[in-house]
Amino acid sequence: MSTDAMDLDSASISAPRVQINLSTRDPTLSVPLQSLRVPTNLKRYGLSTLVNHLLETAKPIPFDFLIDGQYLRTSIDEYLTQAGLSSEKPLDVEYVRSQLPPTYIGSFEQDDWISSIHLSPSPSSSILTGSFNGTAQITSLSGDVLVRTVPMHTHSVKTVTWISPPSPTNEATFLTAGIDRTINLWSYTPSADPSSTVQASPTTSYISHKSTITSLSYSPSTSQFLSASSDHTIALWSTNSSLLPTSTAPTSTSFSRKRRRTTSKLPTTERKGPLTVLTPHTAPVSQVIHSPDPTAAYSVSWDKSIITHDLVTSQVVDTRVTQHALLSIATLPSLNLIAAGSAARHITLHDPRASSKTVQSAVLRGHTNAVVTFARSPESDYVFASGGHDGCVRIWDVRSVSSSTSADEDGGKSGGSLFVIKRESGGGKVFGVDWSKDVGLVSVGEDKKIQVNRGEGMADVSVLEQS
Amino acid sequence: MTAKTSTRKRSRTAAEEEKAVLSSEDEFEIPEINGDESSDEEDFSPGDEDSEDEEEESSGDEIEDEIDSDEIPSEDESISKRNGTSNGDTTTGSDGEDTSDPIDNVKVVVGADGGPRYIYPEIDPVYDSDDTDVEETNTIGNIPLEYYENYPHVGYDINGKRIMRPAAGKALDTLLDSIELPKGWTGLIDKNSGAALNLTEEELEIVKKLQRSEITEDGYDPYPDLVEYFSNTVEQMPLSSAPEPKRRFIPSKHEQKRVMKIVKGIREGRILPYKPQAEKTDEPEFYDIWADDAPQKPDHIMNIPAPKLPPPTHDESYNPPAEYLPNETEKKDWEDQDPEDREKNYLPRSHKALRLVPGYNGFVNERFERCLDLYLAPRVRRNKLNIDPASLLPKLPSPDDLKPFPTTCATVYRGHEGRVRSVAADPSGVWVATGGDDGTVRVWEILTGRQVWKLKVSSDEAVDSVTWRPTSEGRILAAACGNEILLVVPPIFDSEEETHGKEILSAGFGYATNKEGKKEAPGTWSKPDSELEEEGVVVTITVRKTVKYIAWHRRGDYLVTVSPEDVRKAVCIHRVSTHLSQTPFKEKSVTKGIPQRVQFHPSKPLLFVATKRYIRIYDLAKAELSKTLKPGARWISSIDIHPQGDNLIVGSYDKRLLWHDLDLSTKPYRTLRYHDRGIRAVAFHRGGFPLFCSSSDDGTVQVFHGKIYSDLMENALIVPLKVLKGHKIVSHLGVLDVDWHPKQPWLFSAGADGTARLWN
Repeated sequence: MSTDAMDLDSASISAPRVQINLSTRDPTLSVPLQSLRVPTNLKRYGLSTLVNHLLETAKPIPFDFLIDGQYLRTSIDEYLTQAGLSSEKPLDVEYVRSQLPPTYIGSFEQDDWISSIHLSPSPSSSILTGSFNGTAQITSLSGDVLVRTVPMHTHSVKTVTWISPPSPTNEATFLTAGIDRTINLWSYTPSADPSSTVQASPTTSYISHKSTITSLSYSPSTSQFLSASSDHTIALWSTNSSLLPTSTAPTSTSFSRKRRRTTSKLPTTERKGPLTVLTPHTAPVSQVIHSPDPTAAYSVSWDKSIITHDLVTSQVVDTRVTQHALLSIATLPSLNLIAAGSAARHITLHDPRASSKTVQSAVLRGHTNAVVTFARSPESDYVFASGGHDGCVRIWDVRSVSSSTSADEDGGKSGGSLFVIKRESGGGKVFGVDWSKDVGLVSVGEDKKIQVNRGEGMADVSVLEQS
Repeated sequence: MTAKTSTRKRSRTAAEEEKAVLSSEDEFEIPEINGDESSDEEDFSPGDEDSEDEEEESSGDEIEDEIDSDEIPSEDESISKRNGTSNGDTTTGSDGEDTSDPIDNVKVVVGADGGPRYIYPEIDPVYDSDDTDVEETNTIGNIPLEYYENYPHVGYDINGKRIMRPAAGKALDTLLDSIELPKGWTGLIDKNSGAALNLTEEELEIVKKLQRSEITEDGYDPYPDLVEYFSNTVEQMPLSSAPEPKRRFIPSKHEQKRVMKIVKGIREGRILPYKPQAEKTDEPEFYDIWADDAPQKPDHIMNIPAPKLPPPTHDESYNPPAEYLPNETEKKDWEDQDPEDREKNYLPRSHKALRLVPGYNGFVNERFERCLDLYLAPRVRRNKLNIDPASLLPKLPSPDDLKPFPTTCATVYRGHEGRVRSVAADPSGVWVATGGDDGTVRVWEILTGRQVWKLKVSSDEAVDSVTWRPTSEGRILAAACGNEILLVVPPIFDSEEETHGKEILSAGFGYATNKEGKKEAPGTWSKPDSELEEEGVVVTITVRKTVKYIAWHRRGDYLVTVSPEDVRKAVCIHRVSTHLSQTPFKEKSVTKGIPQRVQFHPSKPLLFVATKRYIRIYDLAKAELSKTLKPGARWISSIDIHPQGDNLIVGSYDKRLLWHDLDLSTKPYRTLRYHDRGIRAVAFHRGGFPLFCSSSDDGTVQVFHGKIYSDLMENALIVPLKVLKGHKIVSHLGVLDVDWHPKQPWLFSAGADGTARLWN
């Protein structure tokens, strides 16, 4: 530490100094002395060592520094020149834990386009994916296919979600839904042998929608789940089948009849109707999610609106109309923000609380095609990943937004992505992305691959063997 | 000898000859014949003058010419011939005299050319040289006068009166002598005295003077000597006794003013009374040789100074720095180049001192080139038009203000083998259907680009057109393949909707059988074979020729098809609920031309039929032609009607996109020429966005903003927004069809490169 200080002193003999006010939003990392005069030729590393020195950490933590919503990537001097600022004025510097660029770890191939992914949260991580060929798969981290569903779906599976993740003791259940307008509840008991593949069978079919089901969202606390569909409706269901009415709708379309003939006999399922159907949208609903408070939900639709639903009363709480068709949504609970991905290639950040007056608080630009999926960072509340039809997964930091740029419509703030993860296979759309601490950032898409990326230095995980 | 002298000499010889002729006239005393002869001679003389022959030859020629000119020899001719020969003799004789003549009366002088020059005396016009005055007025004929010796007259005049014998000289004289008039005789008689009134000497003198218009006064001198009264010589006595005027004594005001001016100038130092002596110094005089040696011209408005030569640079120095000196290869390169190709017309050279610099041999040439440059390249002062080009452009809103509109390719629908002929978005906005050359109809998920359904209709014929029934329930897809129209309910919908659609389609089966047999219908409705039925095809309509285009009526009960190959029944209207087909136009003459596209009006019972050049609007309720539009295109490829129904866009193979306002005129309101190749398809957005687009064989789709105002006075606003590039051109075909998403500002295009694309 003393050598660092010495270095600082020696480096600063000739260089001009600038006063910086260090701040952070992480209370565990706050430093006592917040105003410093530092030489302007310092770069990120220099500042990082300085902060580590101040914090007196045993093991140095890499930090990144945000000045006016921009990450410091040059020396302070160069930043000042670029921004046209004087070194006389004190500079407000926010420091954050460094987000390391996720590097490519490996990928698992399937035999058709993969439409969706959901990682189980518990330590026994398994990757649930839905495929365009009408099946869902559960893949272990080592690439073994643990579970494959029987071809119950007559068409592509568009969305999957875990209800109870696999554990050695319990039966695991998950939901799948897709173009064939039915939601199927599957359950299986994980086998002891990881190399053998279990055939999962559906127990219940939930039937209400008249068009493609685009999204499912399960709330463990209420045991309810929501489904969004292209028929402009959102349906609320419960995993407790006894609460649901029995559905009487016919299913035997010509298409399914044909499928039925060709395949083996399928198990019969309980057919259930929804608790409630919400119909505030006037266009295909692209995604629905539960809010942090499980009695509320947010949905986005092609009709450009973000609607907050109260699930108890089935009423619309709030409607926010943006300027473009929206395709995806995610919450950032600690910041009281929701991020919405649009068909117009950008992500907008909104404050969903009724008290906020502005429609959108920031625009994140970078994607070159529709933004269809989000995943929150498991480590930082400010960081999330988005996947788009441009074949990229982008990682964004909400703090890194600046209010300067000119091309804003009404948001006032805009930002750029931290990192871009391209498809290793070359191209194709990304349809789903999920991010967990022990697996990393997992994305699936048109290239039929589950691609795993992980930032180096993230929490150590049991080795992921590339098969 | 010069030509002048020769002609002069010739004219002289001609004169001599005339003289000779005259003399011969005297000799032969046959004046008339000789007169002819001489006139002949004159006629020929010009010809002689023209020829540059020698004199002897010319005389010979004359003879020959005379002989030649005789066409009919006669008595007279022979005489003249003799005369001619004798004349010829005389001429030769005179020629001989000619040679001797100069000795007598011709002066020989040495001319300017050094040769002898003859100066002839002036010709004296003596009386006998000319006899033109002779008047021969013999009125009495050739009668001997002695016959009239005894009569006082000598014949009769033309009136039969006697012509009296003129008085003989002697009788006249005697008469005149007998009359002696006194001097001053007037023949008047004084009334008072009765005596003869004669004029006196003085009076006669006065009359004489009057006749000469002189002043009759005696002793008057019209030309007296001039006496100079007002001369410079000062007379002893003044002419006028008037006193001298005062102004002669007082000093002149103007003079004083002028003097005072000079005085003032001197005082102010402007005028120097004495020119200061130039100071003679021993210092040498210097001249600024770099200054313009041309005198500065006064600045005239039309004066354009010659452009200056650039000042010499480093390498033109007599001792340039080493880096400017060329090395061997550069030197060689320079020498090998043509003088015209050289970048510089000199090679930098180094000399130790300025005095060692040799004379510059290119100097004159260089100056010459410069002069050529200056006067062969005219310098013109141009009047620049100071118009801001931006101000000439019409004031259109910026495309950024007209968002949203499609800008980029979002999804590529891959799967078709061969061209994708047609694309149609389903009314719910979730699916998009395409038809292609591989005989398949495919349905895709819009955003992901996933093919969800495929129907192989035919193995050899292309699917030319696919269209969704434009109603909110009963999803029916119409596809045209060859001469068949398939009405399909794709199995991608909810079972309720599916059955509903099938019910709609199969409702007419019984109806059709009841009506059968009345007359030959243009289309046959039938159930498809089981394989197709399994896939969702409910009805097939078979018409006579290949169907190129299908359009639905807005209520979804009627659909109209075009088969351009069918001359007589190109346009067919099919009714879904009754399974009946009919041709609205009985004869070919009604449609006048091969129909290309047809379209129902979005709200009124009108049918738009586009032939190669015209668009005819038929009123289906009254069954009559209501209007004919003349877009002026050579070959219309496609039309589309604005959802409000008052405007129409027309695409043509001659690259034009035409906007018709149906209320305004039969001529297009606006012509848009932005495509490089023929336009294949045009489409209006029907979901509330003021957008339309055109697709072309140049591989692009162009998106326009086309806003219609409800105010009738305001014309439509048309703004080009975006050129969407992405489709490849395959065998000269680009984008074959376009369709808009029913609700979003998204555009679908079908390309000849085997892909369909979504643009958003």
